[in-house]
Amino acid sequence: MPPETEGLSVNSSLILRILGDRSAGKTTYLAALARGGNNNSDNPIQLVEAFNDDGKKLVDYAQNVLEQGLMLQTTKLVDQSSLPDYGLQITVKGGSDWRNQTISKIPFNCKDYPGEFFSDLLRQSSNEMKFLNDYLEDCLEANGILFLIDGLAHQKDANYAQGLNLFLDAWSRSKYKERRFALALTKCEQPELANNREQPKTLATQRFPNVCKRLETWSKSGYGSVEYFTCSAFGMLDGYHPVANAKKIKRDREGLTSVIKEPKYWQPFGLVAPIYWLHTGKRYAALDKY
Amino acid sequence: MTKIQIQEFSTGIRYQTDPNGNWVSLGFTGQYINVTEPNIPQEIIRAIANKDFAVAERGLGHDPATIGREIRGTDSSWSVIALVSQGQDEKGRPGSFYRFLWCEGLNLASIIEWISNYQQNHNRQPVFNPNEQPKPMADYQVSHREDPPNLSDVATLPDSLPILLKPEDQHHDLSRIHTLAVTKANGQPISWAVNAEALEKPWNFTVIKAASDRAYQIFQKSIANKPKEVAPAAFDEQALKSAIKSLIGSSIVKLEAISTFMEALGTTQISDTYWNSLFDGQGAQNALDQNIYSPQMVRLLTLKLIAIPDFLQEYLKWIGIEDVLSRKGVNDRIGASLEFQSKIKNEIENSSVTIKRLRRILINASRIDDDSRIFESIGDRLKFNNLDLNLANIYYKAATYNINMQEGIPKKLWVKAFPSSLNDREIAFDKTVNKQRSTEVSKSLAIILTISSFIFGIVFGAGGLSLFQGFSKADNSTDNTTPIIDPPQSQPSGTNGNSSGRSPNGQQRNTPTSSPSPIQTPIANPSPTSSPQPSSTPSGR
Repeated sequence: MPPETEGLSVNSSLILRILGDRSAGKTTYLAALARGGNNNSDNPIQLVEAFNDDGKKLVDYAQNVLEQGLMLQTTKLVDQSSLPDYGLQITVKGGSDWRNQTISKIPFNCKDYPGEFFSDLLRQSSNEMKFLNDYLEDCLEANGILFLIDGLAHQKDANYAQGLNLFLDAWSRSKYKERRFALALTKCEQPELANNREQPKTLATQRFPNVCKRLETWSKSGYGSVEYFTCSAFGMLDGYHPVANAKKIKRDREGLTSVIKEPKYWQPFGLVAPIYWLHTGKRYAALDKY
Repeated sequence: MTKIQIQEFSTGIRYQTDPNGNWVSLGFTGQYINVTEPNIPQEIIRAIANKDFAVAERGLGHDPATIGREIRGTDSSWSVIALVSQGQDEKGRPGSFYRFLWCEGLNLASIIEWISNYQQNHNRQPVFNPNEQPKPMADYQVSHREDPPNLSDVATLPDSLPILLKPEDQHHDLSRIHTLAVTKANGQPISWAVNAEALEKPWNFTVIKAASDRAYQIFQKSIANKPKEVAPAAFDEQALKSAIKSLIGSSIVKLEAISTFMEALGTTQISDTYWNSLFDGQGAQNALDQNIYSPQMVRLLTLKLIAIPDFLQEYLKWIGIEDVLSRKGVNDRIGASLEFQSKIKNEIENSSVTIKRLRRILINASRIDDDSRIFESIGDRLKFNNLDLNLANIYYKAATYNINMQEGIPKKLWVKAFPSSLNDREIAFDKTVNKQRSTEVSKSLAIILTISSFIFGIVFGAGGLSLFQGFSKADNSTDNTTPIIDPPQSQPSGTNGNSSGRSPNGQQRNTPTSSPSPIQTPIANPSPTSSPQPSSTPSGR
């Protein structure tokens, strides 16, 4: 019998994995996150630092690809230990309680799974995708999952709910007592989503009822907690009628592909909020805006 | 004329094709397609994994890039040319797609010949195309081409590699660039990249012809900023990086990952500087500077300590070792490290490469205050919480390692470190303790050394004896490798308090010996619980 050692370390750290279909915006989300906050003094996000080589590549993607109005390449499919593993540390001022003015640091590593992982879950077949089980096993390491969905891909709701089934069944068997699952709708700079972005749960439930139902059942069965977020890697252009700071490349029933329209006014929002919740278990409202 | 058989394979994708024959990717499959020979040599697969053919993000312009490379294995060699083109997926996102052509031997010129034949027959360059099914094998045969004679007009080019050519440079066709590389490679494996915008490892080429002026500048910059420490030639850097990533990123220790790590520990060409650069690449230095305490970073720094024992002081400071002796006890970081140690101990304890390093760690530990108390407290934590009794025992034994010789090993610690000596022999123990009180210090030192070497031999298995070669307080600063004791030569009986901890002739030495016996005698099936009763013990308190 191997010795029982789980009690040795307190799992206070966030062990994160990001899940999502192809083109949900996972790498773009991470690159925009790694680029850091803006200089607004109200911004609770003080600093985002990349602490390993892969993390530094994200900063490079943000500056030399996204900021040039270009699109990131599709993430290569390799075995999970060869995937980029981005190390980031976020420094946040204040907290969920307004009296709290402390500075908290959230360090985490995050593997950037290619979307093929999730799309293969949808097909529920590992025939084509030889790394499916390898990835699924790696997911069991996580105590926090960030599930990114292209907010405009609502026609894939039933499909996603089905894919989640397989994933949640596996993840519910992981060693943790406490599991947190954050669902974040991406591309919320788009008008269809932007108007309701302050009610993430309502928006998510309207557009992805089957996914949300599945998550609520999972949570009510005591497997873990679920929270909903809206975010945008590109943000809006301020004005009397704020508009999306994004230029459309392609739009179909499977979602939207776009690039930044005005890199000078690049202001992503909602990127840190899910990570803060996954880390602390508390929602920090001010983070939804930045 | 000898015929050369060319083979090919391409990036695996699911795809759809429009009526005009244009394809878009629907996602990667992780398996190669259009494969003419299923047994692709492992050396080629590893070179691809090591990014020897990889174009970087934004690495492609409108025209495809061509990357050629000789790969030399121990018994065989291969030549590979990658044709890399930019494609799109159904969402309009760009991606790079690879078509590899390869053959046995150092025959890049023959593959170039095949490409040139293809161009003549099809009136276009060969590129990645999922719809282009492999041809009959006869179509892949070309006559063997000798490498062309050296170019006479390259004297003006610098000798430092890689040679970087501007897009408008005259050496523009593949054959000529290959000839230039042959001229300049100086017997080293030839490698060149033509028409690339950005490469993952540009310093790793003989000749690069940039696709554009912008690319030329980027290459100049990245070659100037070449990492100070690159992996030794022919070393599978990517495998080691993946192993380290796997070990730090997962709470389940994969046998394959720990083996790769241990293999690298035994590779003598890997310097501490290179190890440092590897760990820093994963965030080690930042974790130290910015106090990043995630489990992943704890595992990373624990591995770093194993690879670089001189990192001990810094490591202990970072991990907050003083907490162990305060009311705080074992903090989360130490806990996470112990959890990791508990998981890897079985894999590393029988390896001579790690034993050598563990010994250095213990020797380094003599420079910190209270090392014995710290090790004992950690052992207590592991034992009393019933977390890992074997690891606890190793810590207890480590606590005896640097103990002040004049004081001897306290009885309490002795009992924890060598429990089987207690059971039915406590009286014998007391007797020996009392007996030892009158003996001179040098003798008790010798006894400790002998017992320690023996016990650690058991704990750490076959290679364990070397752990204690040359150990002594007095020797620490001078020579840590000279054996000062002989190892036991046979499996001790552990039943009658005999002198099985001693050298075969029953003699012990406490000074460097002039005729050390070989230390590699393994103890078969060692078991910590079968620790024998030592013949005598050092002075008690």
